[in-house]
Amino acid sequence: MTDCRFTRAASLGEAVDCLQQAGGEAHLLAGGIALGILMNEKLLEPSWLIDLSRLEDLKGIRLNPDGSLRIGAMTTHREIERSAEIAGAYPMLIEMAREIACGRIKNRGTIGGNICLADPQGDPPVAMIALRATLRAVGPSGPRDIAATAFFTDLYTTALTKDELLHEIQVPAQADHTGAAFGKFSARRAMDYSSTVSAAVRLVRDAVSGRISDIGIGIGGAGLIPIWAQATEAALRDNRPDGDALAAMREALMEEIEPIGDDLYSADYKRHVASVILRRTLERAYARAAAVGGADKP
Amino acid sequence: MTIEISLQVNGVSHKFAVSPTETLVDLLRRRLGLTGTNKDCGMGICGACTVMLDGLPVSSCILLASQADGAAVTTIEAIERDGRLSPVQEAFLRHGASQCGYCTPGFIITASALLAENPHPSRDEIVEALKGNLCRCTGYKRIVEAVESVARQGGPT
Amino acid sequence: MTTIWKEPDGEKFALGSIEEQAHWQKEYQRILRAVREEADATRPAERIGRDSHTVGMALPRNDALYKVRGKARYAANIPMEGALFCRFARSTEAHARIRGIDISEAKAMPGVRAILTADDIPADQLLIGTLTDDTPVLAKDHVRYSGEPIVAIAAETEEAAEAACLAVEIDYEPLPMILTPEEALAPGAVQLDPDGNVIGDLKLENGDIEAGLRAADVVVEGSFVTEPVDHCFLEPPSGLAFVDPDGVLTVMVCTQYPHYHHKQIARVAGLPMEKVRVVQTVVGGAFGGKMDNTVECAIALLVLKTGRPVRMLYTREEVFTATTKRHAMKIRQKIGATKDGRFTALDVEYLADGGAYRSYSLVVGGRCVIHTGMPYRFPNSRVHYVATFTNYPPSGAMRSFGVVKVAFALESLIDELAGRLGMSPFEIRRINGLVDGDKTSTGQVIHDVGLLKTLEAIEPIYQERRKALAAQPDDGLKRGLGIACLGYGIGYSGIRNPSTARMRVTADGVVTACCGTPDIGTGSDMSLAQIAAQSSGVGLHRVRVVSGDSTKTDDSGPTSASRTTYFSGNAAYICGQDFKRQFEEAVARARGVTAAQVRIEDDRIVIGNERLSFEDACRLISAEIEDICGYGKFDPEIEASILTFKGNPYPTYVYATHLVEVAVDAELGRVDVLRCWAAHDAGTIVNPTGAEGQVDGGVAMGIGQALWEKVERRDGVILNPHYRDYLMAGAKDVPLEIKSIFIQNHDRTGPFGAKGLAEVSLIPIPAAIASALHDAVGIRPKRLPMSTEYLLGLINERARAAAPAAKAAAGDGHD
Repeated sequence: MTDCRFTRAASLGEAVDCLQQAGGEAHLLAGGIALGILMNEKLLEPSWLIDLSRLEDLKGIRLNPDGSLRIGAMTTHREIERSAEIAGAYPMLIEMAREIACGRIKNRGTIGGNICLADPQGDPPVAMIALRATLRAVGPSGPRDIAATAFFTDLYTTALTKDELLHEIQVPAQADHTGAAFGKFSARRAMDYSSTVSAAVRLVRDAVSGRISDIGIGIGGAGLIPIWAQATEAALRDNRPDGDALAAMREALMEEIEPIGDDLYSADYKRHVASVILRRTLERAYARAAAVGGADKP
Repeated sequence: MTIEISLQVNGVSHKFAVSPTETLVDLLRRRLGLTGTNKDCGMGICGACTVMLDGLPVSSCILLASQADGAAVTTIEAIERDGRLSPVQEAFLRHGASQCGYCTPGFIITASALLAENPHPSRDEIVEALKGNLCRCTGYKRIVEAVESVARQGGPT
Repeated sequence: MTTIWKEPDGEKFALGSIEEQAHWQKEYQRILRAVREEADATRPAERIGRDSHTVGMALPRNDALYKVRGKARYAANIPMEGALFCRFARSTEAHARIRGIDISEAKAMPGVRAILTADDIPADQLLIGTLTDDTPVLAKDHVRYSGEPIVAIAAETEEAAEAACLAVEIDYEPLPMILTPEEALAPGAVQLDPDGNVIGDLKLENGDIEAGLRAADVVVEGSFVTEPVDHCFLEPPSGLAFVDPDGVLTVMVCTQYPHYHHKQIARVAGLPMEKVRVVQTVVGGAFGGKMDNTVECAIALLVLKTGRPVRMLYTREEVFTATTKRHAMKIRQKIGATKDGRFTALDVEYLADGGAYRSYSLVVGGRCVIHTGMPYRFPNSRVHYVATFTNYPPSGAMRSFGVVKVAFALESLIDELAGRLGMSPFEIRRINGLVDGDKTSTGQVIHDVGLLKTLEAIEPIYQERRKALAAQPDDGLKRGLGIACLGYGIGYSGIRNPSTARMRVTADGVVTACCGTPDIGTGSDMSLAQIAAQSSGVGLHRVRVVSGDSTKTDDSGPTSASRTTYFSGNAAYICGQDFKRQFEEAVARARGVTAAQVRIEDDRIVIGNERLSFEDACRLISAEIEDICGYGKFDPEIEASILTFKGNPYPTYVYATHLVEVAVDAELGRVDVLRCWAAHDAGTIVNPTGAEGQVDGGVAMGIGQALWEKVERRDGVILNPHYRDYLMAGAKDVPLEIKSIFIQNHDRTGPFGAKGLAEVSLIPIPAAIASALHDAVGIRPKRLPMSTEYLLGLINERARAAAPAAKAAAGDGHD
């Protein structure tokens, strides 16, 4: 067994310094869920653990006066699921948090850790893509903002450099007539991790025409990375979600997802599931947008 | 290297020098002899090793001991009080919610944490709270019924 | 060096000091009383308050008191100072010759105390097994599956043992793999076993199958495929071995059959039987998966080699990759019936994947053959079962010994047949279902057959749900109902398998009943205590059951095949009667009256008009109390060779009808089982709490096996060796509405009329779900598990088949 270094970072700066010194050979300890599993599976033998638990700056949920949301990277899934601020302004995130593993895992697992793992099956990444969140990293040269849509670059790989860490997630204020929803397919009703397919949809419905004026779509479990379904968004934008637009949506989706067949499901089946889950999630988001209207919002 | 940690386990303060990769379940079982916390999958999936960390259920198999520094850990051994079973434990016994028993401590910890937070959960809330603990013997029904019976009485005391 | 067993406060549970033990037993009795008082409110007056008469009462189990407190001593929880930890270096090849094993590097690693290879074991002691000794404790020069143990290492810590295993160098010469039974049977196939590739080739014919098929107005047939399944007991195989102060090699292990290990370990270690003791620890679930050797022989040998206690606990990955599995099986089946619904013919072929060694493949085969066609009358039948070796982990025993697949195929086809004949699924089963006095396929005349009563219990519920579903508002889901039945033989198939019990009493009135079959988590110790108490007339509170210890009990066979309540229950019943007689005679002698004037009645001793407390009676006879030893042996005549399949393979049978209600998301192929009703004729129910718990668990396991559970294998490797990708049902996946209905159909041969239950509640579930799927969306699934993708494929196939017809009907030729 190799010896492992351990640093409990007292400041963001110290954490970044450690990362820099380690030159990519350190692992950040946030909730420690994926880390613990990988270590027990002998897939990971860390040489340096940098513990972020004392960094208050990485914690907390704040709803800004302009309606935007700030979530510290070390915020747990439990905190998100129970946040009154989020429930009021971003109910889709509550829906998403409910889908994550189970209470025991949500009590420790953090949103930042989940996003940085960049698992194609992960729930938060697709939600952040749909919401057009900005992921604020911090590194030796200070903060750097990365769009969620550009954050996931390859399998388990993000746009962060070796000496950067995720500081916070900024979710822009939602326009009037916004509806959002999160949908997930799994074989069982809970705890499925492999072979899930998920869709996060945020849309703005034009109150007069009923057309979708703005839309964000993230698709999980349908490729090497959490997918920003850009062409699918385009197929729906300026349309009502019916008939031809849904057919176009499906066609576009088939073009931009690349599910990988596994022991449970073939790639073709996952394609089918993704299209069904997306359509159902879209319908829910659209119905919500119609229901919230504009006048209800502050 | 080793890290000095201090934590409370079942109300008693301890100091340990742990390796950065030592898990909480190994600390509890090997160093404190608290073997009521059972070990199975090692991946946070089955729930057999569930303990409370500052009142919240966690998987002790994937939690590093260092992450429990400064925290209060409660294991199954401390659920009974003054020589009496807790209401949850007694309900498990009366309802036949424990068969082989390997999953039982994890279920009791999870249910006790739920009831501490929400003394009168609905059936759906109970199932939601227990959904991540695996049991191969009971089919869950009697476990849910046991927790429900406590919820009707008004939570753990 | 001899290490002394230093745990005075209980082997199975950390009981604490004498004071604590007394305190907690008082607590338990308090809870028991409260439960009984609640129950008494609804009981007939004559049974109220009778502490000896508890058969039929729902009572909490004594062992659960310790389990809910975290005091259960699974083998990994037994404290033992200085215990070494054992791990196996396992084969990474599915089929290979071992050219050499280099342990030099491992030997030099820190903490390593002993390394064991096959060369350390005399050749005539190396092989172990169940029916045939064919499995090496450690592979010698040939490995037959990936995961097979080759080297056992004992080290100071788990980590050191594991690191040393990784340092073992094994030089393999890969051999061609056999991955399916078809490959095993192909001409020129590489031979896996010295006796060839066939484990068993079993046949049973009755009547004239061709004539039966000719006589049929309708014949339905199908090919069914089932995948291997893991037991998923939550406690991985584990054990602790040491030499006790008397020099006895003691192996404490989680097992269904301590006496089996006792014999095997003695032989493998070359020790006389009295120098070996096997103690069953608390068992964290078994389901047939703790019948074979796992850790036992290795840790026993390492104790002898090191003189130190040795502990072992498999990882979850080892459980999946290196313990026995339920057989993957292919079934081809044909049934014929007349227009009025009478079965005329049944023709079945099974092809089972037995894995690398024999384990219980022949037992599974025998049981499948005998149960083919159960619980119905088939005048003409032909059954052919073949199991072969392959290069996967051995297939062995698992809850129902394969009958779950027999029922899946048969009940699915019966449902189809009923549809073709325009009959209700109840009607066709009523016409053909076994009744008292019928003969089974082995020629056995059966009695106390409650099958039709279980159908009767379910039918009104079915009708009611049918109406409720018709009134169900559309929510996009398709709902359906399905039923399936079973008949299941209790005990070993066609081999005598006696159980014994002994009962003694101390001068202070504590009664100990030693029963041979261990409690593996089902609560059988509690049921046996109830039977022993009621049979002898002593109060339940004073009866302590001791089971699962090779020195304290006789070999009474394993706890498997749903046999404990019936076999050990009968032994406990007979033993209780014997105890009662001896006790009464002793009191009569002490009082100088005739034995006929004394009787134990509800925990008191009645002598003429006088009543003595049990304790006072014990004091009265204290001079000879130690001579009292009740003994009971139950050994029904069982005879049916698996070569002829004629005779009485089982002393009695259990029957059941299950009804499930499903909701199908037809766009995705997703199924939810919403409700389940399970009617069983398991004879008298000894402890309804335990019985219902068995049913609930069986239903949950059945749902998992129907919909998700599958050990994924490719090229000799198991691809999903963890709960992440092997999906068993969680709390959100099973209906909480599982209603157990017990037809209290008194069995004339059972203890107080009881039969058995443990396995059977699983058996009809996959078939019932398949039939419910037909009801909901018109498909006939023929694979287990029925994955969502598979089901969607069937749904789409059906839609495609229906489409041209619909178009033609609409007169629309365009596309």
